[in-house]
Amino acid sequence: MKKIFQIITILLFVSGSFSFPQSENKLIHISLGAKNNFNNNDFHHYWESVIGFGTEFRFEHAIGELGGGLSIMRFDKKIESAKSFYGVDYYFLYRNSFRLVGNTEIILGFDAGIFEFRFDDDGDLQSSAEKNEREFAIKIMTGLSYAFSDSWKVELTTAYNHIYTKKKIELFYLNLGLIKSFSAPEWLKDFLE
Amino acid sequence: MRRLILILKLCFLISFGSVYSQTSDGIILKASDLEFISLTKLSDIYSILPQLDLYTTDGYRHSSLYGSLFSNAPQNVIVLINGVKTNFGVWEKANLSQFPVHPNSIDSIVIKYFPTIYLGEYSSGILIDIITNKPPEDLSLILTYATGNETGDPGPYRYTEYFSDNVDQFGPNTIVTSSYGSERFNVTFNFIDQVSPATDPAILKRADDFMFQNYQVRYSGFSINASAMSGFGKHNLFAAYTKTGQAVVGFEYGADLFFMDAVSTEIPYENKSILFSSGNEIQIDNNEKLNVDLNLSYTNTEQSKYSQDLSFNSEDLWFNSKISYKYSAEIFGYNIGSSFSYQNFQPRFSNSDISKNIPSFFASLNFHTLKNLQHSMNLIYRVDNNSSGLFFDIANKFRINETNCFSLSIKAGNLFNNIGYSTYQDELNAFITSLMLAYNYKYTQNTSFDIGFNLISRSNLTYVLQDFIYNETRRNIKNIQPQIFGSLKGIEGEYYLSIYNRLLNNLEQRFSYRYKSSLSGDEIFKQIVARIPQHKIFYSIYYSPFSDLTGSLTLSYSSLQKWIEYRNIDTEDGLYVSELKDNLLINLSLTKKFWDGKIKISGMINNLFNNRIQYHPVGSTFDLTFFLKAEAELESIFKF
Repeated sequence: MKKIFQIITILLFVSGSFSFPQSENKLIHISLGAKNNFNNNDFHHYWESVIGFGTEFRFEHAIGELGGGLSIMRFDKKIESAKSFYGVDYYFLYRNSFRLVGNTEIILGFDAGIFEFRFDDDGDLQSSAEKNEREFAIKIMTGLSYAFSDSWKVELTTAYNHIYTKKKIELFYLNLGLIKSFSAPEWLKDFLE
Repeated sequence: MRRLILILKLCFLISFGSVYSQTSDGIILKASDLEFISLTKLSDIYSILPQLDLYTTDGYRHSSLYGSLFSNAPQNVIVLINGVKTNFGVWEKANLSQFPVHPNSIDSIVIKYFPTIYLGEYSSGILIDIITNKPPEDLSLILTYATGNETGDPGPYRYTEYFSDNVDQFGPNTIVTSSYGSERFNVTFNFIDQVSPATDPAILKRADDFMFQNYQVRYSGFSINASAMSGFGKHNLFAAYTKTGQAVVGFEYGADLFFMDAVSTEIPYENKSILFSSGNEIQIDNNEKLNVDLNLSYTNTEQSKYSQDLSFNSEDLWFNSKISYKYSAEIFGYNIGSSFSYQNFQPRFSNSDISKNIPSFFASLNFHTLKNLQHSMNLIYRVDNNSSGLFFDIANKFRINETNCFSLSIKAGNLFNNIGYSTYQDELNAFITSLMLAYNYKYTQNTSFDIGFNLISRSNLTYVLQDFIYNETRRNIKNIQPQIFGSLKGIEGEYYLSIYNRLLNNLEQRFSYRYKSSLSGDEIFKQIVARIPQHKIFYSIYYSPFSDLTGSLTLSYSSLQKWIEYRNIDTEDGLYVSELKDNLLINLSLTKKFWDGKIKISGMINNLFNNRIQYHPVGSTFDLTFFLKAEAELESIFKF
């Protein structure tokens, strides 16, 4: 399963690069959304998630949309020995969308970045190093978006998140987000190109 | 000596009856290669050089697999800058990760990986010549910051029964480069600050006596690279100051580690090193040049201040001078010169003072006998205290037409100690002979094939067979009964195929396969060289779909390696092994440029499929590792 996702990642990059003609970066998109973790595996014997929030910045590129994102989600411990934490996810993103019908598009995407575990300090942590853990993580996502005006969209996506800790963590999310699109000002357009 | 002259005569006659060499023993990396793989440290170039047989215990320091194999024939890595020798390194080992130049300042890197004579320098191992580029006009600035993280941390499980230790974090590696360029004078200043991890359990487990302060290596380096044109010709100066241990920036201490092969253990140390390398090319007329090189280096190495063992302290002073006269015309050219090296090495542990004077003489001749038949001959003769060494090569290249080219080269001579730390100072009688046959077929302008066959014969080798075991109680490696073998000989054969293809203007791919094996010789010789992987496969794809986006994917396969001296090392937990399994390494790099290329953000994933790979029988293992690099390159920001 893991290797399939990895191969898809490579193919997404390569195929996207072959398929799309060069165009100028014109639009930027800012999204705000809520996310919910809905799967159940070993990880969920120790922690249960609370609803999370995220924001993304994307800009148009000839191969699709590129950008970065940040999300935060609370994980409460279910057993006494574990520690509750906030999961903070910083990532680079790639999105591509294809028109389905009318104003509805199907979205495919890939994220890669750092997942940070910020533990609750119950007074028993000796050093700052014990308060945080970081690990490389990837996400692969798909979903639908609907444009309800020229510059506003709503999107509903599902994502698979693989965190490369020694005992791997696999999380599935459902995301609901609102996206505002802008024309990039000249200085930003120059910067992004 | 008589035997050598006889072989020289035979080789000369044979080679002139056949065809000439192309550079089947060398590679030139271009700046674009470095850009595509996005270097975080200079030694990352090794990941795209499957031709080199190297080992590393930690991915940070690399040595030739032949380097300290035979005690009377060291074949190590030597580093040159702009064709001038540097003597960079500690004892016989040069850690390319710590060479203080910015990868963006490099125009190309010439690598020679068979015993060779290159610009009057002899290298018995791997020679790396870093050719720097001309900086942009006026004042420019490059800032680079890179950091990385190996996966496999415990994450939130650290507070559960699944607790495990944290694994390596790489960097941050910071490089600040400023340059001034004009028509006749260029100067570049570099500052490098590196942090390298020392946290792998395989190293910590067997070095319990040592304190790895902060579990990291701190390295800082300053360098100046200047070139000027005068009425006489062209002058280059490279000067550098590097140190490990106490960082220049910040307060954290991190001892460097020296892996001593003979005891299979890291020694924590700190060092300060100064080097000057000056190359001067004096143009006499259109056909004649005089080259004068001067090089001075001083390295002070001390045991880490937190370590109890004070056996590593040493001072090493080198002075080299070289003068050569070069004549070149359309079909004929020669180069003749002489060099003199002085080394004063003071290892304080033995209260000895090793001083050496090493004069050498070299000559090369290039000519055409037919329009499409080229020949070259190189020779070097060196005196090292009481003994002498001779090495020569003869190479012939026959270009049949635009698409077909054959080459043949023959090399023979003493594998003499190029660095000067061998304990067998008076035994420079190890001997090497090689025959290299290569064929290049240029199918189109965008596709070419290289096929080659090499035979390498070594003789009069001295080998100390170690027998390492791991002592669980004392947590160290013990050498139970070393045996010395003298007068060893053996022949290795190598076959390679490489294909280059530019599929699109912005997409190029390379494939190479190498098979290497011992063909004959003493049984112990065959067992010793079993550490060299027989099969190596490499594939790379460089792709730049748009001017602001570049990427590369590299695949490297290496077959099983058997290390005879570690035959009894296997531990129950699998941390130490006598054989390194075959492995497939896939690295991916992506760079997005912003602001017309002034800002670059790169992400690199090494070991993409997360197959655990062990570097060395007692070395680190590594899993998927993620790197991030940010770079600002501001050209000509200020005009004088």
